[in-house]
Amino acid sequence: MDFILFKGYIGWFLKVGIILFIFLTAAAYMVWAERRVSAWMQDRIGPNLVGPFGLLQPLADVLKLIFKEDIVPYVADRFLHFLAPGLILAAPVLAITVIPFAPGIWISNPDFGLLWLLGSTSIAAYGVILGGIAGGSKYPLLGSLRSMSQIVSYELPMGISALGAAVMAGSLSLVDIVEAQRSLWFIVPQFLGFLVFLITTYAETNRLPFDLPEAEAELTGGYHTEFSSLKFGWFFAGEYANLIIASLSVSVLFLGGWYGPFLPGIHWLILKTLFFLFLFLWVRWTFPRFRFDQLMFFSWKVLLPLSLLNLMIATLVKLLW
Amino acid sequence: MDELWKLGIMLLIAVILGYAGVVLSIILGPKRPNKEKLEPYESGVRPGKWPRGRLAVKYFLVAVIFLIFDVEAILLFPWALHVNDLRIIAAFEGGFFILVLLVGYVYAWAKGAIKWL
Repeated sequence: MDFILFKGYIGWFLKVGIILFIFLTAAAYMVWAERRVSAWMQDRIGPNLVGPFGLLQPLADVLKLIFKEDIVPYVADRFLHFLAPGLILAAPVLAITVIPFAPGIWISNPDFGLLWLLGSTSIAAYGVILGGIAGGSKYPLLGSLRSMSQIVSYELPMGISALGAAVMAGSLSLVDIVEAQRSLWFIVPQFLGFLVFLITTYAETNRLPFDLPEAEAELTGGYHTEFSSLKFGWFFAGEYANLIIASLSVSVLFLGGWYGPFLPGIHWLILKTLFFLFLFLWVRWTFPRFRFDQLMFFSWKVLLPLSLLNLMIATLVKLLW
Repeated sequence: MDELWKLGIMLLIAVILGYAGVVLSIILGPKRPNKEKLEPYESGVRPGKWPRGRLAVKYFLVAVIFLIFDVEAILLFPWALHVNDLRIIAAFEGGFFILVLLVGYVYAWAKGAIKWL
């Protein structure tokens, strides 16, 4: 998959354009998929009027949101109200920069790729926290406080379980991590790490069963209650873009990225990512929401010791192999 | 092109992408504000006093514990790259480091800092 087209400066910008276009379109279609799949699981129909199978729904939604009034409450912090929605969309765009899709198909491959990935996904947390504080209203503030504690607690097991994959590969570059999985996916020696990482991605992206920051029943929508027009749209799209990043990073770190039998290159990464995206939707309609103290208990007293144990297992496997 | 330059350009692109849409919708949307519309949403109740005040100390405690553990966890990243060359030394040093980390963890647990309710 080494395209002659993607050589040099112009080629690089072309590649960036194509990857970002596909990524943002996919994020918009995740909103559609979420609505269709939830409808299917609840025996409803879901959006099916705009275009065939409702496929033009995301486009219609974006166009509608652009032309809506931008309402800033008079108690709001106007600067933070402007800052937060942009941050939440910028974070996944930064994260997609280091994801390797197929041999040669990545935007950038720095030596510190894993650190960049973890760092840029936590920028989205700033969007959530600032968004809740900016509104100047009580429900978003509660949502943002919860989000602060939750993301802080789950960041730690996430980093340490991802470290397991780095120990196995002996590198922080995501391309090297995928290359190291040529013969054996890391899910086999690192099954515990895979489980911990998968669970923490649900908490980091504010998805059920960890969606306390936006618990609809208690917080009327949580941190994005005071946002309208495309600012709200960005919160929505950013959440789904973050889901795609989470699925991509699980596939890259533990499921061998583009490696797999029979099919060539990028097909495997897309299949794995689609599976994890479907898992996100499936889990949402299967599990009830945690209570907040259960959530903190689970992170600090279960996931953190498990991720440290996983790190020791990774070291032992690396030494004995 | 150097990888760092690529990351820098992507940083610029990400910020532009994020804020272009926000600015566009501020410009293109109608502007018809009135008093009721600009009130913060409180389920129909008149908003009371300014909600930004003091927070429960539990949030602060969790943040401090996170800070301590995360600074220690970040020191494990360079260690992870050298497990392969240092072999058994790396295993012992990593194990000792995690042991020290666990002492702090058990202390925080015993003091009830991790307990939420």
